[in-house]
Amino acid sequence: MNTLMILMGISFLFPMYWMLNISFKTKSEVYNNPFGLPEQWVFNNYGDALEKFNFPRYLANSVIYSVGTIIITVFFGSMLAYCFSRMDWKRKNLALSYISMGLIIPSQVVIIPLLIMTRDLGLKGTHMGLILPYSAFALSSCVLMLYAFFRSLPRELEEAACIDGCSIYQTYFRIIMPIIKPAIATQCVLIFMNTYNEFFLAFILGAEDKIRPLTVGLLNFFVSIGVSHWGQIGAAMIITSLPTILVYIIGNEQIENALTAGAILK
Amino acid sequence: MNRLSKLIVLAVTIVMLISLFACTAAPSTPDTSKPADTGSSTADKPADQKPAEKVKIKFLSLSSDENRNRIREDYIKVNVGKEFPNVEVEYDLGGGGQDYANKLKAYNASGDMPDVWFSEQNLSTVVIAAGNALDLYPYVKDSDFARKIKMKDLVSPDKDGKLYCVQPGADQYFTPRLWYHKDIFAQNNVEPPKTFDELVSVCETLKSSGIVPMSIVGKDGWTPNLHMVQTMIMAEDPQVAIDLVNNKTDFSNPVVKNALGRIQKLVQVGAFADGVTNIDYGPAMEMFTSNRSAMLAMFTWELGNLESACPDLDFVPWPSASASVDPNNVIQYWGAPLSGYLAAANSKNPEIAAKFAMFCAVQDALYYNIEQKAPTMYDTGIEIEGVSPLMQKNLDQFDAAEIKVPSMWAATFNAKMSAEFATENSKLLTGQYSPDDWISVINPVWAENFD
Amino acid sequence: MNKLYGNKLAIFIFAFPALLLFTVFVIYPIFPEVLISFQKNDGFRNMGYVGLKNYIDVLKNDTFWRANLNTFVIVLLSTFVALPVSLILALVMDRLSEPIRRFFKASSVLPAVLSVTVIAQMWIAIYEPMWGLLNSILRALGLDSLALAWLADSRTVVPAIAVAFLWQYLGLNALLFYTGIKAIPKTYYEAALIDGAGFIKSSIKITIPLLQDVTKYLLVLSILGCMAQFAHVRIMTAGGPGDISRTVIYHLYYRAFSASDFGQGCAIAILFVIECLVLTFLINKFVAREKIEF
Repeated sequence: MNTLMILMGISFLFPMYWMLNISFKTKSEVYNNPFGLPEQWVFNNYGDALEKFNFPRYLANSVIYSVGTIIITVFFGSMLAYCFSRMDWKRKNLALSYISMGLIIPSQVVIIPLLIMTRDLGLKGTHMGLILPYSAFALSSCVLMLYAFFRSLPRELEEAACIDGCSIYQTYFRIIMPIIKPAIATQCVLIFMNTYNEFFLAFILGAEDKIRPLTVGLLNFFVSIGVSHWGQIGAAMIITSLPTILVYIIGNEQIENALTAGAILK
Repeated sequence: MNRLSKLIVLAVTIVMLISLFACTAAPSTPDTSKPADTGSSTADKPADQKPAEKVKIKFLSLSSDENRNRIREDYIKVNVGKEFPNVEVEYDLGGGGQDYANKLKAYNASGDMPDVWFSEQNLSTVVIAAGNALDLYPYVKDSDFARKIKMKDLVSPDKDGKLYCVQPGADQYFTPRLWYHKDIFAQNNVEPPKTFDELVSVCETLKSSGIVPMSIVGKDGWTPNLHMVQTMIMAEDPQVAIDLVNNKTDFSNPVVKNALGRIQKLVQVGAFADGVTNIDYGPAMEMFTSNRSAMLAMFTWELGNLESACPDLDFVPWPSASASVDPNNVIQYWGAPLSGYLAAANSKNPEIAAKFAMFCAVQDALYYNIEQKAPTMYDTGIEIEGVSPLMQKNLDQFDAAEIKVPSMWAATFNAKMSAEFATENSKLLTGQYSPDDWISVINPVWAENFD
Repeated sequence: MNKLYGNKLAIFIFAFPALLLFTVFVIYPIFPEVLISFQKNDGFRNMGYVGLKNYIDVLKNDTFWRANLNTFVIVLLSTFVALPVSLILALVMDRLSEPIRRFFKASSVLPAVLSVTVIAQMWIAIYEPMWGLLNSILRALGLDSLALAWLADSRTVVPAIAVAFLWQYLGLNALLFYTGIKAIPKTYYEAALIDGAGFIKSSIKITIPLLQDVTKYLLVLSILGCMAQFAHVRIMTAGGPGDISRTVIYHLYYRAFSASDFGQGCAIAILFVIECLVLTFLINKFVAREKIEF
């Protein structure tokens, strides 16, 4: 059983091996010897790839999108989730179903109205023009998960705070927020993964080079070299994946703790 | 009280949203006129300030093929500073194929066009129909550019007195050829085919010796889309292709069915690589240049690249399928009146946009004259020297051919027709799809093509 | 306390920003889409209202049903193959020695962290008919007849894409199941151990029933994720050959953008949203004991 599981684990590492492997191969070796180790190690694929595509700018943009989306979604989303789980209002269930609709509306469906709207709101060509739609689309799952988490929290904490004379805002930001850290950490990870890797909205809405994220930059790079020089494609894939992999390696324990804290599962 | 205020805010928000929606979702007339108005009112401003600050122009182009990339990187970017010292160009790279089409369509739908862009006929017509393309005729009319174009049709207005597109006139010389490796043919003792039956037997021979007979771009049915369906029609009766281009016949014509049958036949004898429907442009080229395939179906715009990659390169005109058709006498050419550079109707600087579009067309011409040693209708004044024997052979046959038919894909198909044509051709390449099904799907779409 | 929770201003402040953001960028764009679905519209011009014609045309089109069938196949594979596999992986993970478990946990999420582009390109290389990994292995095993053009063959293309897509999230789902298992108090197992129940028996009798909430959650997310499948199809086959591997969303994208028929594209969007609503209703009715909030 152990061997089987190790093999399975190795299979999940296969993409890393594959990317690294082809990134050190010549153009023709990728075709002749696609999966074995390179017969002749080529290092200038990386140099060539970096030269042809503006990595630092795209990376900075991707980070801005991810971080911006995380901040907006988690801040407003957690407030709404808290409001759903604790406060009494008449149309609460209706509003909850309303927010859930976001899970089944794919962003591809509404791209044209979105494009028109970002222009009319003066957001075109700005980072906000993508951060806001990203946040709106990330809201549904964030709110629903945090809502489930809040429901599992005992109310005593807030009641104590209430006796101490805290207002609802103080209670929320001073007492509740610190408690839900693990759940929020989970959300941050999930939103980061989705936003960093998002392609479609960025491709249509992020038209100008100065606001383009890595995913779109990568595609332009692929097609510009004619989808045939796999060595350079591999190098570019490694370069673009590096940040996520680093985040993942550094944050591995925290991510896992966040997940195992039962943050999303109650 | 709070509930009331909440209701009010909600109501106001909804009203705001609905009004926003009403403005933007109304049929395009207000949508296109609005930016046009602002365009004209702001047009004076940059003109006043011109010496003070740089004018910004957004330029969108294909970034998926080598020629487009080299024109942009080595010619437009290099020369733009000399020609337009006060203009700053923002380059928007649109990928290729459907990505490019969808990006341009999304811009078009929102009325938010780049100032200048490159598009082929089928996309250009969409933008023009939406009223988003600038009439370039006033700018082109008495320009140096118009004087240097040898084929006056390219700079003459259409029946409404408008001219939407400027091009260097290189496309008119592009034609599909059947390229082959002389060495591989010699090793396998096969002769270049002159008729379709010979082509089939050549494919069979090559296939049996374990080499891919013919490399084509199968993804999205690219090669059949761009020329092979028409090539196979013209192999039997060029007049049918001419009639199709002029909307005088439809796809139920028996010649079409035979043509599709010939493609199916090629699939069935294993002329194309396994999984051909998933092979993209780059890999298809790579397959031929790395000697893994013996033949390649491709236009002459790759001649220069192919020549430098394959020392044993040669080509034949596409084989004929009827005794009455001489392959050397017919040419299918790519050029279409609306393939080239267009400018946006709502550009803030229409004059600069128009001049930039002409500048780009000139850069195209320079690129083809210098790098590809290919002729253009625009006279750059450059003497094309050192034309390779292969290019000379190509041009000689081109000039000698009496029947020249424009590409129906490039010159006549609208967006819907192109999309359905691509889908059906991709299915045809699986070898398990009958020409009758193909025709029953395409013919109704064709009936609406000229609406 | 109740007074605090009933404060209308506070409710407004807590709820309004998120609801506004959501309304403006997700819900509001739907309204033009509904309108367009009743128009003959090519993406920039309304060429008149045509009533239900777009819906009828969509429903009469074989490709729409094929796209639904493909989507359905992916949903079924995810529900009855991928999720159970993830569950088994999680159950086994619980029994592993610490170093192996740590290794497995670390590697399992990696595919989900990488971008779809990377994963899809890798699977393209695996499925490549001439030099791809899968066919190389099959040929090495002497199974030449099974070495197909996986992504170009109408029989294999949809499962092939589904495998790539489901594999990417297999490890993540396993980890999520595992976190659920870890949350089960050990006392349950102690009782079972006294009764002499083995791994399989205790899994079936104790672990799996107690994982109901996690299962339910993952079921809904994976079904909706499969329904909206687009990116892998787009990169791996662009719906091809022809229209054979299109999913509903890809078909929508094709009709709206490639074929410039926004009327039909929007009609497909509306039908899709209805399908998803029906599906979630069914899940609520048959699978979940407690209502899933929708």
